[in-house]
Amino acid sequence: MTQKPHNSLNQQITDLILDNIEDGIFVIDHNQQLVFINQGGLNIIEASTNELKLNRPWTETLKFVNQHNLAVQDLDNPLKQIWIHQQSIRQDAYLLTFKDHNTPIHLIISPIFDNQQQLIAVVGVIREMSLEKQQEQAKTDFVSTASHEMRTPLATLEGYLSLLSKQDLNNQAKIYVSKAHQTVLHLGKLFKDLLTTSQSEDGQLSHKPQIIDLLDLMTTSFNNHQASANEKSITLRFEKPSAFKQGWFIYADPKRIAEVVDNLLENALKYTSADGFITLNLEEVDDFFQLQIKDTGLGISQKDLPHIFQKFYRIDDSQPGTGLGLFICKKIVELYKGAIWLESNLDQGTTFYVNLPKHESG
Amino acid sequence: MKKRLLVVEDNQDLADIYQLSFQQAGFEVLSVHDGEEALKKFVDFQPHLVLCDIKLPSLSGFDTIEMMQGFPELMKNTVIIIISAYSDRKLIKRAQQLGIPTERYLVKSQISINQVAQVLQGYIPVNEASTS
Ligand SMILES: Nc1ncnc2c1ncn2[C@@H]1O[C@H](COP(=O)(O)OP(=O)(O)O)[C@@H](O)[C@H]1O
Ligand SMILES: [Mg+2]
Repeated sequence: MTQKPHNSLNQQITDLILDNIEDGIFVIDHNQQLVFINQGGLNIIEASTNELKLNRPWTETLKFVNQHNLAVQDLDNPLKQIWIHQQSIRQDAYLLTFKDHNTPIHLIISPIFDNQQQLIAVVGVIREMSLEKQQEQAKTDFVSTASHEMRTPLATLEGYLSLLSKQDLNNQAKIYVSKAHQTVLHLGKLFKDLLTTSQSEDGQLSHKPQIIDLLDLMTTSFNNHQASANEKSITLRFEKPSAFKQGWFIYADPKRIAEVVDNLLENALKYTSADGFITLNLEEVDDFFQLQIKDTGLGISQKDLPHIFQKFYRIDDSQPGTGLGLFICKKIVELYKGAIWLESNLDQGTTFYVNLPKHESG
Repeated sequence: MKKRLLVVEDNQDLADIYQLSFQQAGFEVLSVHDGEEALKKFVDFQPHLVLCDIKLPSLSGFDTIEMMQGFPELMKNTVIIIISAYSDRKLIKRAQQLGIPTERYLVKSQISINQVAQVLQGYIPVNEASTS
């Protein structure tokens, strides 16, 4: 039984609604006390009416935890943050129920102001996450936790191999260490790609856009790949455009765009044999800057072309890889409302095109 | 004069690796294993660079950095770089709130130790041009 102070018809209707909807609704006053929670809310936190502690600090009833049941820090506790930022908050969270279950919820909370613009209360809605959403979340959490858990040992392995490679080793040992080192670096990239893929699948690709100069970014990536091109006797060229008068500015996360350019360059290097050529270009095309990466390599047959951006799609397994690179490129480019496509003929090489919208300075 | 680098890393293996690698890269390295120790050394050692892990035993890396920022005079000459096994959006945002941009948020295993050394050198030349 929840609070029913007045008995007007309107009030009865409101009570009826509050008691029967599945969503939880609660109110916290400016003394940080829970002053109201409906039946739906009690169901979600698995509390009976006699366990309910109204007019007591809300922290006794609404326990925000992480997925491992540990109380979240104040900075991650939406009900603490709202008093500071005084703005509505909408986020996914976990509540620890009265029966010690960990319940994933979707939470919306809003500040209530009086006439003097003083924050006097907070009203919130809790919605239990659907099973489907929960499973999706569990999958994402798993992939994310798993790749995190692997990062520390992997970084350790990489560090020791790097130290080892600087020791005085005989030639054979040098080769073994170098191969092991390369493999570990590759594994690092693999985990990164898996995580990016899992993030992009539920629209959670993390990124921090800013104004960046595409020419600088391409130059860096070009320089970083020069050594491996030399190693394979491939000529890597960048036909730098004459300085564009306003600069080659786009609004995007530099790390993500570098991921695209690096992936395309790595592919070109991987799928082009010795004495081949790889050429980078940057052009202005209408409202876009267009990046071109042209190689004289294996090429891609008409039958494979339509599938090339699918995840895990690989034409042959002679080269190491995951089939995630192009999938990720496409997701990133689409995130910035750009486009990626290619032209290719078997045995005649491939050209990848990437269009990214120009940043219009205001 | 060598540039001073304070490494805050609780994993002993990684701390050893950082110590050796960055010494080889030309830094004077001091490594500590928790936030409390880091704060103490931050004041004594006055590092030019701090490489800080996030997941630490008691104080988190964020807490530690926040407290370091309580010494604005020292902070003026210090660049803070985060290195973490975590890369969630929330954490990157938290770093930004502390004034650490994404370029200074490094993710373990996604960057080789040599690249980390390069990043560190990029922020501060190992030897000042004027010194012989
Ligand atoms: N420049 C290229 N030339 C020829 N084939 C390519 C090129 N880029 C990609 N491919 C083909 O597309 C497939 C998918 O590429 P990608 O998603 O980057 O995965 P990966 O490189 O890990 O195999 C590759 O396995 C390869 O068969
Ligand atoms: Mg690839």
